[in-house]
Amino acid sequence: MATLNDLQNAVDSLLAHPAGPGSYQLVQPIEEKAYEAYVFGLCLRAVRELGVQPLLRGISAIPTPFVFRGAPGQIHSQYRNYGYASFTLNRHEFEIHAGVEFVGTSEMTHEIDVCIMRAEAAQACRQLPNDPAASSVFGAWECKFYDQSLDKHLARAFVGLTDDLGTNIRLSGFCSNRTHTQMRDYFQPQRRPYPHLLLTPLDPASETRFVGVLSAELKKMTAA
Amino acid sequence: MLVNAAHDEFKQVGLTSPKKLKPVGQSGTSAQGTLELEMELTDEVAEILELERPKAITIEGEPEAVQEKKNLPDVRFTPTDEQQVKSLREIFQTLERLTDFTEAKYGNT
Repeated sequence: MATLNDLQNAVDSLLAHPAGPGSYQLVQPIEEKAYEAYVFGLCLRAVRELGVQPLLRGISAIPTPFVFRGAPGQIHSQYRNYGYASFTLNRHEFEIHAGVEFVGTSEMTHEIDVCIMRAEAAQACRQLPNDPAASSVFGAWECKFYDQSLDKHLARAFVGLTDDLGTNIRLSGFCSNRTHTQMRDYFQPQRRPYPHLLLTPLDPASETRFVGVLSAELKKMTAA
Repeated sequence: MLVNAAHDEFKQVGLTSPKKLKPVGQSGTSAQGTLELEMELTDEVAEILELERPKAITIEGEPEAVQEKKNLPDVRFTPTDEQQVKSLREIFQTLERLTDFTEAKYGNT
């Protein structure tokens, strides 16, 4: 009779995953993380379109390579030289992070896939160390890379999360390579996340929309 | 495609050292922040920041929170040749057509 190990070996040889044998369980998270990296890149583009040069940094050294967290983590973690980006716009300093945990207004911790936050709060949290408060978040994006239909509960969960981030947040968005008609309608009311559905490199118009919404809000917020 | 898109965006951004920590509660713009704000983007500065150069990007294979470490390697983002992506898309589009077994409906069947 075949054992679990036999099955694992057979799957390994079939998949030949670049991360090596036994790594097939990582495939789905890695696709999702690659999608987060893509959305992170779109945030960089939005900043550059405002005539500002963002800079890539690491927690403890120059980020070579730029490491994305494999799972949600704390902003002050020195486990690896995790990467982030920083930029200054109209004398307001911001940082862009991926997979960082925040403390909501209810004191519950939340992971935000991609976010832009105030740099001063990020620096303070790295030094204390502490988890950043939700009030320091400027923008938050949920990233869902799916090879099947999106579930409605994903939208409900993200609306709940943004609600717990408080009233300082200026922008939020639900990004996915898939679409869902009811979800699009669900996101329509004011203060709900922007539905960035079918956001992929295959649709440059969706990318332009993402970049346009973000750069417009950054401009508006920092002009005051 | 996601990897290529991320690489394109990262290529146009500079690399620099971590922000120096300052005493908690100190307000105002940091000296480094001011420097960034006023720095002119000359060719020399662009060279130091490694602007327009491909950046190495990885996803950690074994996150911090994993209890039993197996020393899984990181997954590197390796850009794929655009032409190769294009030809793969064409193959999949052909396969999609070949695997569509829906029959055309005639009359009121």
